[in-house]
Amino acid sequence: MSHDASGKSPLLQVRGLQKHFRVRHSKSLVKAVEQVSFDVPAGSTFAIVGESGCGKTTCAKLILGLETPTAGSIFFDGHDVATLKGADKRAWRRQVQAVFQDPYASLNPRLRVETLIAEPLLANERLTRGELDRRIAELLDVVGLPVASTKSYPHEFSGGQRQRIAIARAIALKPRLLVLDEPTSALDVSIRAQILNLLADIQQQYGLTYLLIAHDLALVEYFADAVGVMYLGDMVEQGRTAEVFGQPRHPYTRALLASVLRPDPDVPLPFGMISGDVGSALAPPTGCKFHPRCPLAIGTCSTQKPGPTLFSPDHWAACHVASVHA
Amino acid sequence: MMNAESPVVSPQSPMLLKITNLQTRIAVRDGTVHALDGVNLEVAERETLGIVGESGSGKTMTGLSILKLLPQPGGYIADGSIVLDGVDLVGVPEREMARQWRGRRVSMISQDPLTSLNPVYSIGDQVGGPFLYHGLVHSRADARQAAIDVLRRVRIPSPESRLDDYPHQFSGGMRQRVVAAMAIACQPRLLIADEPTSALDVTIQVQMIELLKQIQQDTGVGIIMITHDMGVAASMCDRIAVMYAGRVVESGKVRDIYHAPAHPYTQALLASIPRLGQSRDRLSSIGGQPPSLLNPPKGCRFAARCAHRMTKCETDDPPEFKMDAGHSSACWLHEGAPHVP
Repeated sequence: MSHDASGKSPLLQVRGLQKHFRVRHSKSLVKAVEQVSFDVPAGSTFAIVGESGCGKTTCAKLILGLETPTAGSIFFDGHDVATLKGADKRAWRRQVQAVFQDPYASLNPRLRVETLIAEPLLANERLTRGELDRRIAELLDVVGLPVASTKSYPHEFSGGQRQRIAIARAIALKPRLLVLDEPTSALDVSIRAQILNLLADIQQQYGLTYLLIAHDLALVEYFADAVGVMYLGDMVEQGRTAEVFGQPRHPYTRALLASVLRPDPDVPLPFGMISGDVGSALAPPTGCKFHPRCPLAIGTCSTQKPGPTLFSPDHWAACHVASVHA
Repeated sequence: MMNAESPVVSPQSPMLLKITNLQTRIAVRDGTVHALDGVNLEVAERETLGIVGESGSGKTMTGLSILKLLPQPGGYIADGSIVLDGVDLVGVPEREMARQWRGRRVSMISQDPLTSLNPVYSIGDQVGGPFLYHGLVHSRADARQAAIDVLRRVRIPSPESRLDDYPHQFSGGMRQRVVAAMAIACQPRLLIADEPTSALDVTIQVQMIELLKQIQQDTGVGIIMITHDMGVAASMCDRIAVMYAGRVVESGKVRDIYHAPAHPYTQALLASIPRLGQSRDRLSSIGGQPPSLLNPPKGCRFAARCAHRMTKCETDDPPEFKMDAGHSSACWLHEGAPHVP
């Protein structure tokens, strides 16, 4: 798998990550994430894409430490996060922060902006009142909000401004990894570009590493260096964004890319590209989980789960049919 | 490719809906929100008009004004006309609206299929409901049969066996098909689709658009497609109206809007979306945010965010200037072009 060009080990390494949820009052398991592995070199952006229920948000929660994996490991800066204790654990938590989709839900409506941004600082650092005010003013400046807004409440801001507040909170502790879970989906088109540009600036300025969870492929292509495509809990294709989007190998990736409606009336609609619904994670199809919807499915697809086939040092896909052309 | 086959609306297509100078207001505690301020729109039979714009631009208010389902208390139509099939709906009393128009001649598909279906009634009851209400059938047995037929038209597999299921037993895509079935049950003349694909996954979204196009081909229904997604609008619409802060700032044929946008807002909007296969340059963004409609600014409402702002823009309202056949733009840059009559 990919390594940093400098030969350093990546900031985030995920190995065989698995999360099964037990369904209450029943013996069934939801296999939300199965055997997911990837590396994210420091300073780069890795994106996970897929439709609802594919496990991308569960992956984000596992990496944030909000859920415990049922198997597999997450290495942050070379350390297995499951084994961290005490001060090391606190340090790791400071270094991994998140920006969520809906800034109307993620900010406490009863707190003023200064309190919202001060919260992570007060919980983790010993600061005098003057230092605290200076840090808050600095953070507001970085995310492009007027310093005068410290006394305001979240409802006084528009969606885009609220997302700026959420970003200020997330970067307050100078983290190294930011998990961005659909950071612009709840925003208007004209505001999205502002937030994307802000995230790009902050990444440059602080050398941040991003894990981006998104369903918007055009956004992922624009923003991510590498991408993993998930379907019903499985990673089905992974590699450098340019390769995966330029030469998609898995039929699901192809269908996803073809389903993107282009803002151009001269591009014909991808009718008939893909049929049926995403299956249920409770009773996923046997073999390759995509086979009931796959236009290329052959006999083995319904019985045998395909393993990864390498197409280049930085690009693999798990598909019986695609593997023939490797 | 269906795109090429889709019926080109000829200028002779009979006009179905004509909205003129629509002024919709909402009285709130702090004053009056000018939700729509002089909206002009037209939809012909068998035509899809896309209304695009950001939240708060008035897209949904336009749809709700046509249905006369404005938020209450407070919402009212202050001026203008909404002529559907020769009848000005603004003057139609509520009782007649409910019995003869809403769900009958004009219906709506809303964004979230989960909230537009009642969780405690079976699909058969809900889809059969409009037939009974509007007196198209006279027994529950006939309503059941009519429900099966219309569910088959929206391609729900084996509808007979799903009639007694409840909404939670359907997937998101299938639920939206059920909502579409209810909307087309009484063969309306006009269908208002408010973000019908926004809650759906991309692969399901394409199926939904395919279905709406099929329904239009079969029935000749005029569709108003309300969306913030420029990709959805491009793939579905014959004409586009771009709304900003309660006004239509540009309207025209879909190719005019995408290939030759005239209004600075449309231009900036199209430039700010990341596209597949585009280089990773910095996205051009529109600074600032839309004005409050409680006290809308004088002059052009986009002026504060516009790169081409002139002194005139801050004081005088731009009228709709005619660019081309069927293409108009409300911007002083086009002064000199003839006014839209």
